[in-house]
Amino acid sequence: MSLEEKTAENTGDFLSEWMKATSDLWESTFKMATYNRYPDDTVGGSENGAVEDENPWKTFYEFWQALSTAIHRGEDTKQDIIRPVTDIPLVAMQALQLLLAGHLRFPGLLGTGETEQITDIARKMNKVFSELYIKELKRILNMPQLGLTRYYQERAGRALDKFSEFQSTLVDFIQLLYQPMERTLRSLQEEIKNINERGQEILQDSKEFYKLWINRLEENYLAFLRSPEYGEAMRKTLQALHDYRVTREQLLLDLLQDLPIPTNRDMDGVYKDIYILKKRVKELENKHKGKRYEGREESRLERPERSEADAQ
Amino acid sequence: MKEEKSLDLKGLNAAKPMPSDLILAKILGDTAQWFKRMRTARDVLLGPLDTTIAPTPYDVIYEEDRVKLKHYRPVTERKFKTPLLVCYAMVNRETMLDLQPDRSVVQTFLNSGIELYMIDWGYPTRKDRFLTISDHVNGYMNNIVDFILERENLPSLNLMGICQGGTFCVMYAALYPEKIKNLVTTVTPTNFDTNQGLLNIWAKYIDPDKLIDAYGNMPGDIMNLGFLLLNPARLMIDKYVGFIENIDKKDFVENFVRMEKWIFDSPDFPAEAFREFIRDLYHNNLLIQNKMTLDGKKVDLRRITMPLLNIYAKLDHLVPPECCDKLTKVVGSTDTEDVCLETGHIGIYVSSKTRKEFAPRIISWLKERDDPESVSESMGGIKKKKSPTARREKQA
Repeated sequence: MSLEEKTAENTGDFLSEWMKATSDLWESTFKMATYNRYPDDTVGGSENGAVEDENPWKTFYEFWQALSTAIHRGEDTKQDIIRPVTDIPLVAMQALQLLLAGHLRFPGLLGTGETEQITDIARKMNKVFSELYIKELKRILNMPQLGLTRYYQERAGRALDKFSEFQSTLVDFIQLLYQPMERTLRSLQEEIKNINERGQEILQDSKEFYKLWINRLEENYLAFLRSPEYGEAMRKTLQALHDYRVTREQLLLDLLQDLPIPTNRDMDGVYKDIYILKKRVKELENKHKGKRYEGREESRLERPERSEADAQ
Repeated sequence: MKEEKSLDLKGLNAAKPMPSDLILAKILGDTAQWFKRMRTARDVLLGPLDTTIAPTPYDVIYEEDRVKLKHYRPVTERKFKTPLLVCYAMVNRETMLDLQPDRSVVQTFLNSGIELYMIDWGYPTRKDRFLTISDHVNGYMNNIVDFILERENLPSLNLMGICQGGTFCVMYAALYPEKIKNLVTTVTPTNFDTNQGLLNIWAKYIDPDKLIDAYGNMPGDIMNLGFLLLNPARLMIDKYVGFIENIDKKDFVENFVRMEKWIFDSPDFPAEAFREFIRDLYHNNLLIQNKMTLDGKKVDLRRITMPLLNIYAKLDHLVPPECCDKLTKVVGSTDTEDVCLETGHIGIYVSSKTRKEFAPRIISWLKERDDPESVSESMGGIKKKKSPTARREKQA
């Protein structure tokens, strides 16, 4: 056996052992979790299908098993234990395939009101945090500072304040941006219900179903993005972004002033000078060469001949 | 693992779908087919891919700061007396006109015998933040036009503008009408007072001063994010689902990557020019009302007396028809033509349907005005719609 084969075998053995140990860990976790939730049921073999399906540990355990199998597929030949990098997408897709199959067994949350509740909770949490922040923390951060370093402290406090405000506004904006997604799923839910009631089975085809979803999503987004509600949220977010970046810039100026690094403010001053100087040089050049910069009324044919140097 | 087993979607509770399920189920519809596709995709993605964009050879013949003038090497005998200068937008790169050999407006122009020049605006850096629209129009553009006229020993040239580059061309043609023989505007916004496009609606909520304070130049990535948000369902989800579905097709992957390369190659927009563009155009709509001034000079569209071909796209979500179709009504020229193509903002240049119509139409229109006696019969198949003036001239 060559050294390479030996190494591959050793690594393979180690990987197998590790995968097995991890798999055992997830299995026991799953058993414990199932027992704690449904002590009367047998592990993983509940008579009640719903109970089995709702257990996230089981899905995760299955996913892990799938991943383990996918990675460890070629037990017959030791060379196959360590798979080439180019096989990663295939392994990943095999695992994803199983995960998806397991995942799809879950009853859809949408339409049951659970996701709406989760989103609503997230919104409320953000609102509560914002209110709390404005009432308490914001005031502390904007307290008058005293002494020699008061301006530095003030700028640091302001930067932190604007950063928090920006984060809060951004969360609001992202939540708002998610609304058309929720709306689409709700309306689709209704539509599917109607179709089911009519006894049609067009939605058995996932591609048709996807098409229906994406078209509806597009419509909802286009309507939403035109609304004043979105425009206003965008304006607020950009305003918060501006405030945060400006205060951050001011804080950075303080931090950079002792370092031999030019700040944006320094460089902008230099750039402005260069810009003005270049303009003046061009004007003088044009004046000097007799080419009138503002000779818009002048016919091209009447303009004086230009030298080679001018053309360059 | 049973690779050959198909994913059973029929057993799903179709009444309770989730978006991730829909996307994944669409992609993974048939397991066996999927694995076969992934194996081919692996070979495609890891194998040699030709994703070069802008392959047509050119020489840079003029440079000023970051701005360059490209001159494309002719591929055939010159058939047009007047050269064509193309001015692209500063928002993306001019490489879109030359994405690949069989989808290249540049090559179509060259094949027809046009002497072709193109402005490359380059990548503005922080030092360009003080450059105004006037610096671009009265400065860079005017210098480039002068350079070409000098080189060609001609009094005027043909000018073609694309999107926001077209807006600059309109301003230029109004300020320097004597230097422009024919003007072609494509998907060019000149009327900003409309609610047809999302950009026009959103612009009302944007304070350019704040953005410039925050960023200096307007970052290309932020603008791109805005463009993606114009249609998130298609541009952020469906487009990539389509890619996954065709991931095993080499040609598709190559074309897709070329387009991705172009889309996300977005230079920053110089701060002052951005401020003026939003304030003077999107907010106050000054250009179409002849109220815009550059360096104190009024941009009077009635001074556009040269022939004007105005092409726009019916399905354009960035620059909708209402932003474009007013121009021909306010210019001083009597030889004007509006052409509305059944496509989108980018499709007008690259879609297989319209690219057969778009560039040939411009060539034909220019040819007619370049040397009316020698309109080439070789351009047969192109349906030419003559402007009233041109028809009158012909009859006379």
